[in-house]
Amino acid sequence: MAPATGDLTAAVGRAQAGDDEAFRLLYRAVQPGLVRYLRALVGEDADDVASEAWLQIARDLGSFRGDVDGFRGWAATIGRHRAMDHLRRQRRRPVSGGRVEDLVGLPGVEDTAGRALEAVASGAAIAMIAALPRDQAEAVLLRVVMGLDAESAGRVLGKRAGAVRMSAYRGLRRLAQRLEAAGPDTAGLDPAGDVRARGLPR
Amino acid sequence: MRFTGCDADRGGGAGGGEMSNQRTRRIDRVTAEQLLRGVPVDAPGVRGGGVGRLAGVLAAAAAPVRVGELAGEEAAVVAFREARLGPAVESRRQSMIQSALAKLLTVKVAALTIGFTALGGVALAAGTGTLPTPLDRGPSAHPTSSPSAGSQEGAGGPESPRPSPSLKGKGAGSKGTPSPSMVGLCRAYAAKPVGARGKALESPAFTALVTAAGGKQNVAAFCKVVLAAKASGAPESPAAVRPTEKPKSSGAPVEPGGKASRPAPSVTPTARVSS
Repeated sequence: MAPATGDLTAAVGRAQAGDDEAFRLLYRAVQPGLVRYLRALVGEDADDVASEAWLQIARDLGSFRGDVDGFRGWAATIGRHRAMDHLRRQRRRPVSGGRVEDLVGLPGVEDTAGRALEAVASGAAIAMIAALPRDQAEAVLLRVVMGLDAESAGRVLGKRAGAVRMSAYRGLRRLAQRLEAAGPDTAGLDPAGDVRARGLPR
Repeated sequence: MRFTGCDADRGGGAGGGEMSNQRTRRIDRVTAEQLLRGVPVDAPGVRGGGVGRLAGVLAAAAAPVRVGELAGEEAAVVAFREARLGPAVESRRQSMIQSALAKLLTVKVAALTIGFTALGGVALAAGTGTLPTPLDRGPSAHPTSSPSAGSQEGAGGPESPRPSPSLKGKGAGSKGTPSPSMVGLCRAYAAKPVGARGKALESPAFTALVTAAGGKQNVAAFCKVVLAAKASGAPESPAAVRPTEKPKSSGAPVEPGGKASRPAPSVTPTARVSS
């Protein structure tokens, strides 16, 4: 289970004081969301870009001020900047497209037998969100996988909170439409649609 | 409540689903907020259709950590340690590591000297002539003797408070610049054919790298970070990377990898690299 928000906020302080176990805790709490968010910006290169982001986070942590929610937003901002640099370097357009039908059976990179199903569902879900128009994909992912509120997500994106809300709502609606059109077994996800317990905060 | 704010999006062309969305239309702001926050949505009629499946997709997107997502953990922690090494390292721990390193280095230098003796003749003279002082940077041909390799594990530096040369630069990782020996090892690793890398890590020459990365499975990710940091940092300091008993050209950035770990006991200082 993920550590409580209070513990993570304490970890921010300890990491700033040089405690590398606290830094490790933050990494584990934030990295999964960060890499999934970056997936929508740089596709396959998300792991590399996330690694670059962590280098900068490690280096600049001393100058950060705030709690763990602020830290998530800060990490997302750094990740986004690194992703933009990466895209400039690659002179490549952000990944887009990918039809729902193609997502069925999309493999996780390193599935092991025990987690294969879950990983496929998770990877497919990210890919599906990433296939939205980019402003919508970013808004949805920042909120759902990075756990940011609309205000924080707005700061990451350089937009007003209202604009982020609107992008996220549109993204959700479009996703729902695609899912409805694609039929019940899309992406191996549970058709009953229960919201399962989340591993990431909020 | 209808999703009034989004009517402008209607013409957006989300495929053929546009006409069949009476249920989807019921994603009002409250429901959308619940979905975005991961709060269970219990509005009537939500279980079926797009909204229910949408909830499933979002839950899957936010699912607990997947295998492979934390592969960069050790590299990140190493970067963190290196970034901390300036002011904020506990001094007691550091001094313990220092003395341990000093002992280790004494042994290694002795071993090296014996090795040179075995080589004999001119090689001996040339080799010992460039042998580093014990707490100088160890020869990168023998990674386990490198002080910075030790500092990867111990978070402390040997004599100098900054084991890696402090390369001030603007790019990412300029402060957390990986130690030169790790850079060399990573280049050597990267220079190997992909198929041969796993096997190469068995070699004692890569022990320090494997240790620093926190395991063989992490080496690839670790090296990506190390080399990326190197690339974005300031130019290499030749003195720090200079392998003592190898051709001088082998440490040059022009020649990536390969040579850095090859124990080539050549004494020609200007050996031609590839002609």
